[in-house]
Amino acid sequence: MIIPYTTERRADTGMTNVTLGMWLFIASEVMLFGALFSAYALLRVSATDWPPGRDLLNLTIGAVNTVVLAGVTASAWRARRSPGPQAGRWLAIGVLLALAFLGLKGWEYSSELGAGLRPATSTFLAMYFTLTGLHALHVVAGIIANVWAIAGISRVTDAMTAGRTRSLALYWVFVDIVWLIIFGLMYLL
Amino acid sequence: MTSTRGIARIGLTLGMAAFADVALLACPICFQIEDAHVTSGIRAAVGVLMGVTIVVVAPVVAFAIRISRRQRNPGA
Repeated sequence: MIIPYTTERRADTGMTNVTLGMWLFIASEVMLFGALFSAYALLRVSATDWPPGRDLLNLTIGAVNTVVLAGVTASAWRARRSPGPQAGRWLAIGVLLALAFLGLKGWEYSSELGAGLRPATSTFLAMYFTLTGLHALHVVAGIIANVWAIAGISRVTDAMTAGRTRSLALYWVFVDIVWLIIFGLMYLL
Repeated sequence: MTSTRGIARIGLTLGMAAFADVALLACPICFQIEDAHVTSGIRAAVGVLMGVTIVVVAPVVAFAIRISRRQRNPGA
């Protein structure tokens, strides 16, 4: 069965169902992270003492990860504008960069846990591990989606691949924006 | 009945004062303490949540208006 408007734009919405679905998904994700940012605001403003993130966390790794994740977004955006096999190469570069992001994050986690900085240590660290952990899960989901899109390039039409890469580009921009907010709140402020 | 309840309340208060080993704090929201940290925190949290909700809902409303306009003028 062929699902209508997978590759063609609907006249009423002005976009394909794939793109519309991705926008709705992102809206729900914004509410999820919004609730956590609201919790952050409550805990931070209520706290009598809140440590500066740069004193506890590794600012260098955080900054490098910001650049790496920007690279993932850029590669997803290039894939969006490239034909089938070339899009696959850009998505593969995105997967490698996203794995590098997770590797650096894992290394940062292990050094923090080794120094006795655990979620139960303070409210700041509980918030840090919750926000960055949930974000890392989104990076993992993005990697799986990229691999799925790469694997499908030889099996589906170019129009379908274009729809998938367009959605992935939107998703990675969202993941990148969330990281920028987390980086600002936890590492810089 | 009322006096029994009053005696029970006084007894409970005295018992808590005698046996509780931690400080008992009144909820600043319930008791309308305006300058408490928690009051400011909840205000900030509600503000953030309202902002996020508006950021999500506004495009949904704009999109709904766009669809209704397109239905009226399919070529637009």
